[in-house]
Amino acid sequence: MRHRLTLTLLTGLILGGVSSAAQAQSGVTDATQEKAAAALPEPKVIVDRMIDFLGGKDAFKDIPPFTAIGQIAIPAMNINGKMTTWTAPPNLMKVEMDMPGMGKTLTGFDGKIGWSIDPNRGPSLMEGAMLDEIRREATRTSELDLLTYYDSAKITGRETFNDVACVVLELRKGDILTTRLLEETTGRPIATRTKMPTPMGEIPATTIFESWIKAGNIRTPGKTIIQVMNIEQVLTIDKVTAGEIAPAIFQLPPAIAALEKARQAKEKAEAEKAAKASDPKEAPSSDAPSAGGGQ
Amino acid sequence: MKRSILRSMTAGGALLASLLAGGCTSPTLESDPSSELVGDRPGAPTSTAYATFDEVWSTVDTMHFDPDHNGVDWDAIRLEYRPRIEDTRNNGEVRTVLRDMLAELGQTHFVIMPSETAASTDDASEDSKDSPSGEPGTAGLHFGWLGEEAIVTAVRPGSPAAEAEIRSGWILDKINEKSIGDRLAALRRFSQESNSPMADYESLARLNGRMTASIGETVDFEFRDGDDALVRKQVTFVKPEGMPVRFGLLPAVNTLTESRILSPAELEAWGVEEGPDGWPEIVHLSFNVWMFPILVPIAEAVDAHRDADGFVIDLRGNPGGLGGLAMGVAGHFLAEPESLGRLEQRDAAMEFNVNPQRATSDGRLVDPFAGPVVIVTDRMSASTSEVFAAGLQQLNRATVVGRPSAGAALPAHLTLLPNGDTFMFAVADFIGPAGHSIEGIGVQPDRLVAIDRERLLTEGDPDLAQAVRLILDSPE
Repeated sequence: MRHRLTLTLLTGLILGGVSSAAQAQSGVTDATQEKAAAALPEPKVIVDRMIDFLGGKDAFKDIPPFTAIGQIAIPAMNINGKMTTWTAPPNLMKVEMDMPGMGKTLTGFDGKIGWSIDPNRGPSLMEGAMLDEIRREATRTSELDLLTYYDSAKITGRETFNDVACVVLELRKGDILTTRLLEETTGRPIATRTKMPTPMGEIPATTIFESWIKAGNIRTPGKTIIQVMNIEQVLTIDKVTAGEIAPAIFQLPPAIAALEKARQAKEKAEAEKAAKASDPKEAPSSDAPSAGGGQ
Repeated sequence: MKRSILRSMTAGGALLASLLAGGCTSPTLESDPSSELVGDRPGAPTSTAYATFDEVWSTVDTMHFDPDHNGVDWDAIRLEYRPRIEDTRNNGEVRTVLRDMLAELGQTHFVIMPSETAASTDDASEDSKDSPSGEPGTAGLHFGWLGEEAIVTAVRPGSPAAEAEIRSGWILDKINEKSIGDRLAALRRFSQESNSPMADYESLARLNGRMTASIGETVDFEFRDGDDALVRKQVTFVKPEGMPVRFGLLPAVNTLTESRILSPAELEAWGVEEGPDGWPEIVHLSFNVWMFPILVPIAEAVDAHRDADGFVIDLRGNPGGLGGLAMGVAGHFLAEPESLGRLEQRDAAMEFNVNPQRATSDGRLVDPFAGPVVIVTDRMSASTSEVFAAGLQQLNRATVVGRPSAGAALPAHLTLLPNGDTFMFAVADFIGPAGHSIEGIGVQPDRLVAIDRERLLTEGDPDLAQAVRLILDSPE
């Protein structure tokens, strides 16, 4: 689900000197005995229910650009800020968060480059698992291909979470396990547990979805609660507007463009160096060890 | 100054110091009568007393990073301390019980911050508009301990103390014609006899916190100068420079970041000679707390002096702040994405990975500063200052000069209590790159600079002098 990338921001800045206290939420309770005994549904059944809940496959075919305005809060520490999210097909995304006493944090994906600029860590390009994550978040149709995107998908049991009877859908991609709790009868996403890739390493996080609202024909959580390292962040959407978004919104900021240019130059130089090393004309003389190890 | 010179604890620096150290504070000189518990009095505990106690106890029980609570039987502690709530009659007395209970942990960053603290900082800025005495001021003086006496260890350039020509190395004898030796000696002895893990930090915080007067107040100081002659100086306290900033539940703090090139006169006084290319360009960078407003000035300072001969990062007196900012500042001095250390909770961990800052906001590609870096610490360098100093020291990126830091480096959270107070509690241990905790140990300087009167008198700032020598002795 959306908004998980925001936790990388706040986990990084809060802890370490002074920070918020989130109440440890123990919403997870034991599985219901009767339900546990019943046969577990197939993953496809539950994922289809989830897609129906979100609006149905057809709703994902023609998603307009959206601008969502809302708030980000850490209630236990009395921190409240503003958040704006822009999304446009096929996979453009930008999030701006403005926190009092801290400043603005930007995160974006332009279809290829994932990036962030925060007041503390400065500008950075995403790589590896973080890039994969933001690409998935930016791709509005990503919920449709869960069963093919992940290496494996299993329903492993039942669990009551915040008084909702859920099935447990375990999705594995490489070493990363994501556990989704979905309401069994409707497919409604209730919560997700995973180890989030962040600039500070993989961090266990639980994300809870509440107050579903309609954005066009698609349902999206109006309230998202992210619990990470005992900090609880609450993201609330106040208003969603469909309509064209100026292309400039998704343009790379100058610092990111500079970093990307430098990365491309570095990759080009490395490619040229590799090509030079494999060119026979450039190969070392016959009495010298070859690049392959002197065989 | 009224009688507040030995009582005022609301100055910005002292306030923050008490925030970070209060969980382990030792007794004050003048104990607060309201905090003395007397049994068999009429009345009853406040309506929130038990709920407040239970919240504090259970928070530590569930959130302390060590399930064994640092070897303390936390269940037994509850049985011992909860009955004492019955004898409390106000919030001050509840705090006393809580502080005594938290002190059993023997760790820093377990602090009860009275609700009045936040209110007073809010009110201060308003009061100052109309009342010259409503807001704590500064004279630009910093004191250290020389035995049981208070010695001037720093005079801020351009401050009222500098204008009054007060010098480092002078020893304070009287304030407003009253001898203070006995009280200072008592304060010093309290810290020396204290079991607090932050005794040195606390005694320095109190010493300096008590040398505070309101803006506009004039104070008579009597010193012994370098020749032990009595020197009397009148100093009018002024509004501290910097930007007040508030973040979440933290009280407002004044944030000040300064950078300057050390002057030829200073360098000459420290034995540096002008070279064929002129005087060395050594940047002195200091900031009083780790809050967001420090970031832009630091970035600008690094950007303006990327070819400097060295940077001195002065963390003396810096009690910490937002822990994550250590990563941001380190990004200006590390070329590779290394970790400053690891934050460890019961069931999760986070690396303090540094993002080397290679682009400016206007799109220029830059390199982090690659020259010599010296970090200056003292006993009042705490928390995030220690995370930063230990990280760069253990990564062999910086040399640390001065005195050992406070040894108070437990990452902490804040929460509001039922009685309106704020509770700061440690939720993690911080393990430096070398693999050990900084808590209780502190950052040990590579070059120890003891408080030495002769050096203070001759060099003014022996820490800076040592830092400069190290930079100039660094290999190219």
